[in-house]
Amino acid sequence: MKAKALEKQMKKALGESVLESRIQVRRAQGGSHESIWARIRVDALLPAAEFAMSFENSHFSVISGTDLGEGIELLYHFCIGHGGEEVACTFCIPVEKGGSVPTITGIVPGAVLSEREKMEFFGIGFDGLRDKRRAFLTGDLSKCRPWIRGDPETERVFQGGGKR
Amino acid sequence: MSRTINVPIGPVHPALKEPTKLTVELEGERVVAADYSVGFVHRGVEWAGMRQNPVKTVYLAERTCGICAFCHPFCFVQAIEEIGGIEVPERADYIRVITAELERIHSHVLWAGVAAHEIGFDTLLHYTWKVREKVLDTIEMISGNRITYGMLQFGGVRRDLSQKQLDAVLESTKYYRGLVEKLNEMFLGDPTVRMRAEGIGILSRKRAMELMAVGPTARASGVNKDVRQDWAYSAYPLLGVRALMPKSPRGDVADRIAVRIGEVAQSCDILEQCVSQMKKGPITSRQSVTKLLFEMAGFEGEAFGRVEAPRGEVVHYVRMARQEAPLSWKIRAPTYNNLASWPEMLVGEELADVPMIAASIDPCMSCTDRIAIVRNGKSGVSTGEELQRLSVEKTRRFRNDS
Repeated sequence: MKAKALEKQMKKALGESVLESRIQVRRAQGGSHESIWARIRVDALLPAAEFAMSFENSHFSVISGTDLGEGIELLYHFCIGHGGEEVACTFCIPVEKGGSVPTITGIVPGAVLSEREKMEFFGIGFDGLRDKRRAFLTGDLSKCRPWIRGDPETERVFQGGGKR
Repeated sequence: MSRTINVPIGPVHPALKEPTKLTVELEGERVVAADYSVGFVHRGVEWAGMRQNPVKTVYLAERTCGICAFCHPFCFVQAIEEIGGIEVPERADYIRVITAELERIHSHVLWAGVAAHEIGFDTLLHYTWKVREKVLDTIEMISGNRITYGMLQFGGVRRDLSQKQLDAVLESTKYYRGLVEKLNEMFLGDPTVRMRAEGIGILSRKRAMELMAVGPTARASGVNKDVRQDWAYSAYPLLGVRALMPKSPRGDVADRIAVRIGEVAQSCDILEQCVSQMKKGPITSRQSVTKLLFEMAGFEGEAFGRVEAPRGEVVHYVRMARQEAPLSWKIRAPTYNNLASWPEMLVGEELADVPMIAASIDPCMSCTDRIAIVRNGKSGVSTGEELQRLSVEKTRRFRNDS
């Protein structure tokens, strides 16, 4: 499947919820790969996940995120297709600090750990997520939000500014 | 009315060598529910990587995992190269693939030993770990180290391979090719091993897809996924790699063993192809690290690196924003996905099979940082300096002997 055709289908499925999209190409020896990067509205997250998983052999890799200062951007990385024609498709959504987004675990059961991790590291919520236990940080770091830039608790613990 | 008991296994337990916790709920000997906990060795690798320049982070990425010590930096480097449009010479890409495939052989043979141990077949553990030494020697000969190779740099690799080193790679493939049949016979021909592996810890293709299983764990369930095939990176498009799956996948422990042993042979094929296809040429497009650092401080953009590590797909998301350190760096190791398969594989099985099933996904949690040496009945713990001296001496010996 070619990225251009997939991008067209994605725009048709999600309509005006797609705020911006681009195709990025990576070169390899004797070939190249295409990836779609789509910034979408939060209310389009579940339809976007459903769209990505509607293809045979679709694969969800992980949720990553970036603290942009004014808010957080969550990135949902999917890979669509197989057999040398896979297209990586990333949906990016804005989230307020301390805000929440719907869980995608109803569509992608394997996303549980990814959402639990973002809950811990960014302090955001996932509406409808059943398992909300901490995953990676120990109890004494429960107030830390390590991937929030300048998070005071994280700075205090890790920069020698405080004793654990 | 049936009564159940909960049995905690780990985080430190003889059946699981790395710190993770499995809790199994038993009805008699039968597992009726299972849960897992992680995070016992979280070291904040990404946090540290977002506070330093990417050149230093290659070193850090290499230490994410002691076994996948090449795949993690390989993935990170590719993401940065995509953001900055850094080209990689063909010879460097072949050297990257050679190192990655040697690492796969090392990882799969190591795992075979762990699997044998979990079954209680320690003779096989010692045999597989003895034969693993050959690939570690080859890796040491080309890189100077057994597990952290220091081969990668943005735009290429740090070391070229001489003809003598390429010959050693070929000798290694010859050695392992001869062993594959023997390993197959010992693991899948032995009635004891078969009893402990066939029909045990089943993960169906459907559930493997839903739970986003990756690597040999997914392929053993019939999922036709391999990043080297689907997203052929580096020199892989020139090598025509195909995902290796059982002919009639059952998705049990035996299939996971068969896929990994098959992949040792597949890695031998790839290594031989690389050696025969690679031509002389430059090994990097960036000679000066200082210039590279200036260049990278101007990078803006994001990329999603993917590599097929021995345990499955590794992912690194990197975002650069015209500053020295990445704005964002997220690592996702294969075990992160494969852990979700544990409850699926364990429910309905017997307690005695839990260690083998848990080990069958080849979980990776952390690495040990010290070594105890027992010689002539006396034991002692070596210091880091002592180990480094011994390591340097051994590498010199290899190079002088060959």
